[in-house]
Amino acid sequence: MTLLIQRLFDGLSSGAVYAALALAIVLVFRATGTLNLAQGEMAMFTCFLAWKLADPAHGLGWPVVPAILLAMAVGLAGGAVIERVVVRPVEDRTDHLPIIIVTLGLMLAINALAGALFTTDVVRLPEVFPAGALRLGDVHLSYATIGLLAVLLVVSALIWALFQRTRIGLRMRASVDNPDSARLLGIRRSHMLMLGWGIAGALGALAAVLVAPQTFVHTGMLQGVLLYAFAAATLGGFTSVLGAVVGGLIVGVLQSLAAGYVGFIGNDLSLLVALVIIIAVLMVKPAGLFGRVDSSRL
Amino acid sequence: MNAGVPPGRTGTRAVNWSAAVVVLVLALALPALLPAFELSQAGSAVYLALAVLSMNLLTGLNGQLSLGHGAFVGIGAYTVTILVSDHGWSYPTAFVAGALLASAAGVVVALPALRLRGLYVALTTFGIGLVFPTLIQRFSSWTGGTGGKPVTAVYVPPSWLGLDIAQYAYVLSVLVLAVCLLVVHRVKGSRAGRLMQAIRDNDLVAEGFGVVVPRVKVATFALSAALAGLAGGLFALQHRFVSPGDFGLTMSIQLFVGMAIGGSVSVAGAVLGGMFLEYVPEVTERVGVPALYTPVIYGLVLALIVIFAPQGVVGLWHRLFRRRAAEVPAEPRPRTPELAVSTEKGAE
Repeated sequence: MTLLIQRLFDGLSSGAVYAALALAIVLVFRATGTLNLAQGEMAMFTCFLAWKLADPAHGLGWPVVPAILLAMAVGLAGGAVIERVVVRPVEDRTDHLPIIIVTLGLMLAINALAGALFTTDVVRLPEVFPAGALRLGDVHLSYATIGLLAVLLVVSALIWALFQRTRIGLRMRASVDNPDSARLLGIRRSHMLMLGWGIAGALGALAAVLVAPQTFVHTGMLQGVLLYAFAAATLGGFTSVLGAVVGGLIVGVLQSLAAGYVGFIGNDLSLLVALVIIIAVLMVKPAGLFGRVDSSRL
Repeated sequence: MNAGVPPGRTGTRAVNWSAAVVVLVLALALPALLPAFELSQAGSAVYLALAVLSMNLLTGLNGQLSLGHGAFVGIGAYTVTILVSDHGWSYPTAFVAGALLASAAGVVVALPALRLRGLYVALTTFGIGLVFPTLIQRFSSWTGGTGGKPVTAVYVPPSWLGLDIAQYAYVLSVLVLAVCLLVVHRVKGSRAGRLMQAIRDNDLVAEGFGVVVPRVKVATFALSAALAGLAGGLFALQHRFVSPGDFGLTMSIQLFVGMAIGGSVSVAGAVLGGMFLEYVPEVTERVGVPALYTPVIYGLVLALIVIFAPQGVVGLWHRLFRRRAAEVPAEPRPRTPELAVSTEKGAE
C-alpha cells in the first residue's frame, strides 16, 4: 500500500512535467493547428541557457531562479520569432506536410545548435526546490514533487485566466475560432499566433528546467519527455488546457504504475506506455477526454 | 502536392529509360572503379535510397506521413541479422522474412490510420521511431542489446564473379534497389497506384467514389514498410553489424529529410535523396563546416525546400527545365480536419 501511494506520488511528479510540456503543445495546436515536433528541442535549448547562466564553473553563476526566468523570457521571444519567421510562410497551406517538415527541420537544427553552442556533454542544472521530503507515515513526498505540482497548478491557473479573463486572451481565442471575423474586428491575428507560440516557448522552458533534476541537461533530455507530453495532449484532446493538465498527470501515474507493476515493461520500456496510450486514445476516442470531436467539410 | 510528370510523352520516356539503364550500368561498374571505403559509402547511399523510396511510396503517392520509418528499417536489419547468424537461414529467405515482418509491423502502425488522418499518424509513427531502440534493448538476449550484434554468417560471392564480400554486397544492393525502383514505378502507373493517389488528393472524395480508403492506406503502409525492411536487410548485408543507435529517431528523420529533398513524388528523387544523405555531411565537412552542424544544414535545407521547392529537387528540375503542361494539378484540399479542429471553439 505504501509502495502504491509512493508510486502514485512519483507519477504525479513526472506527470506535472508532462502536463507543462503538453500545455505548450496544446497552445501551439490551438494557435496554428499543428503539432510542433520541435517543442521539446526548443525547451531543451532554453534549459541549456538557464544552465549557462546559473552554472558557477562553466557559466555566469547567477542564482537559479533569475536564470530560469530569463530562460523562460528567451523561450517566449524565441517561440514568437520562430512562428513569425519559419512557420508563417507555411502555416496557411492546407496540406500539413510542409509544416511537419518545417518543425522537423527546426528540431534537427535546434538540437545541433544546442550541442554546438553549449556542450554535447551531460551537465547539471542546480535544483530549484530544496532537497528532502515530507514524511507522511512511510510515504516520502519530496519537496521537489510538492513544488512541481504547485508550479503546475499556478501555471495552468494563469493560462486559464489569460484565456478566459483577459482581453488579450479573448482576442487570441477569437483569432483561432473565427479568423475572418476576428480580422474584421481589428484583431491582429498574426500577433495572436506569435503570442501563442511565444507562451508555448516559455512553458516549454519551464517544463525543461523542472525535469532537469531527473534527466540532467543534455541535447537528448526531452526526446522521451516529448512523447509523454504528446500522449498527455492526446489524452486531453489537443485543444483543451484542462485536458493537457489532467492528461499529463494521468500519463505520469500510468507510467509509474506500469513501470512498477508490469514486469515486462519495467524501466526499459516505459516509453512504450506513452505510445500505447497515444494509439489507444486515437483508436478508441480520438477527441480525447476534453477535446472536440473533429468534423470535416467537403 | 501535385502529381508528378505523367508517364506519357514517349520521347522523354525513352530518354528517361535509357538514362536509368546508363545509371544502373554505371552503378554496377563502381566496384571496379572505387576503392573499398568509397564503395562502402556508395553502398550506404544505395540502402538509404531504398529507405527513402519506401517513404516516397507512402507520402508522395498516398499522402500518409511517417516519422518512424527508421524502425521498419531496423526490423528488417535485425531480422536478417538474427535469422542468418543464429538460425542458419540463407540470406534471400532472411530478406523475405525481414520484409514481411517489417510489413506486419507497418500494418499495426497503420491501424490507427483507419480512423485518423494526417497529423495523428505523424504522431504515432514518431512514437514508433522513438520506442524502437528501447525495444531492441529490452530484448537483448536476441538482439545483443545496446552493444549491437554482429552478423556472423557471410554471404559468400560465387567465385566466377571475381568479387570480394563487400563488393558482392554492394552489387546485390544495387540490384535490389533497381528492382524496387521498378516495382514502385509500375505501381505508380497501375490501378492500385491511382487509388493511392486519389486518397492523397482527397480522401473524402475518393471514398465517395467507392475507394475503400482504410484498406488502400493500410496496404500502402505495409508495402512501404516492406521496402524499408529490405533496406534494413541491405544495411545488415553491407555493414555486418547492427546496433539500436543505427535505427533511432535520427535515422527516421534523416529519411524524411532525404524524401523532402529528393521530392516525394518521384522515383528518381529517392536516389537523389539517398545520395544527399550519404554524401552531403562529408562534403560540408570538407568545406569546413564541423559535423556537429550538419543537422543545422539539414534543417535549413528543409525549410528552404518547403518554401521554395515543395516538390523537392526533382520537382524543381521539372519546373525549371520542362514544360509542365501535361501535369494535372491536384485540387486544393479542403481545410483539413486537423485545421478544422483548431478553428472551432476550444473546449473551455
